[in-house]
Amino acid sequence: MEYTDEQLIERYQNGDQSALVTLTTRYFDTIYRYTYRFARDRAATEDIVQDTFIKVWKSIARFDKSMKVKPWLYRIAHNTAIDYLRKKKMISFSSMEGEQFEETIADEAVGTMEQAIAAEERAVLTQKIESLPTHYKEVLLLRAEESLTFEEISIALSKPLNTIKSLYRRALLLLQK
Amino acid sequence: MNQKPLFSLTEVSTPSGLLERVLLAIEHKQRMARLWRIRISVAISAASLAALIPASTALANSFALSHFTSYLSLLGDSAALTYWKEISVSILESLPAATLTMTIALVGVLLWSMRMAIRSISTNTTQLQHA
Repeated sequence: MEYTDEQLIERYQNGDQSALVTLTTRYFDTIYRYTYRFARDRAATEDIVQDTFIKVWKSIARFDKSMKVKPWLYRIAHNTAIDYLRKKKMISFSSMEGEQFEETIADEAVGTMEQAIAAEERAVLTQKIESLPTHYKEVLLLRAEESLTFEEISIALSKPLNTIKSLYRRALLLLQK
Repeated sequence: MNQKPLFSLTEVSTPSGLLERVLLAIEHKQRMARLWRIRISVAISAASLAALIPASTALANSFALSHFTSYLSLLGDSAALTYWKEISVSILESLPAATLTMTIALVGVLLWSMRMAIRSISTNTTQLQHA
């Protein structure tokens, strides 16, 4: 029987150790892929992924059942990656500071990826995305590669929803340049 | 609702064996945490048991000095029943409250730490059997 993410958390909290193994296995590849897009270094990614899932284990007893598991996992991965990369000075502090986005930004059409895909080969697209400033890249990857909704990205990155939409739209505009 | 990925970048393959290494690392942390809980609970049990010896001696001495048993023995006297309220108050006042509270607290700590130690050891044994 396949359990949902929330059921696995509950089972672990009730003493089923194998539930954590199942949850880790389920999200391992996606968390690795997401982390690698930032670190772009295999050794760093392995360290970050290990730290991420250790933090998942440490936090699981306090997991807020009103939240969804997927954005919670990405939040831990995101914060772990940022902390690690800052310590190793693999990213600059300024790349983490986003522009100030208006909270009341109009809900414009966020654009599509098809225009970017039509214009770029996959490898070039990868390079372009990976070279984006961090605050654009993290939204773009979570939305377009990891298939999170804007609401889930907002939870994962602890940023307001309109900010996420703005970042996504501007990231697409940057890719199309 | 999640949607299909809009695009695929160059594939990132997870190194073989990394998942197993991470699961082992988590298991190692879990084992260390269980051992710490066992050590701490056994240490608290030992400390509270050691403290209980002088505490219970002090409690016995306090009871002896407080005339508690004298007042208590009055309850058996039918003539004293007339003054049962006054005798009851005297009994309560003669209780060595401080040493009694301390001794009860130490017993509570001892029982709690022993329970924690037993549960931790039991969990650790179960996990070792499943490993």
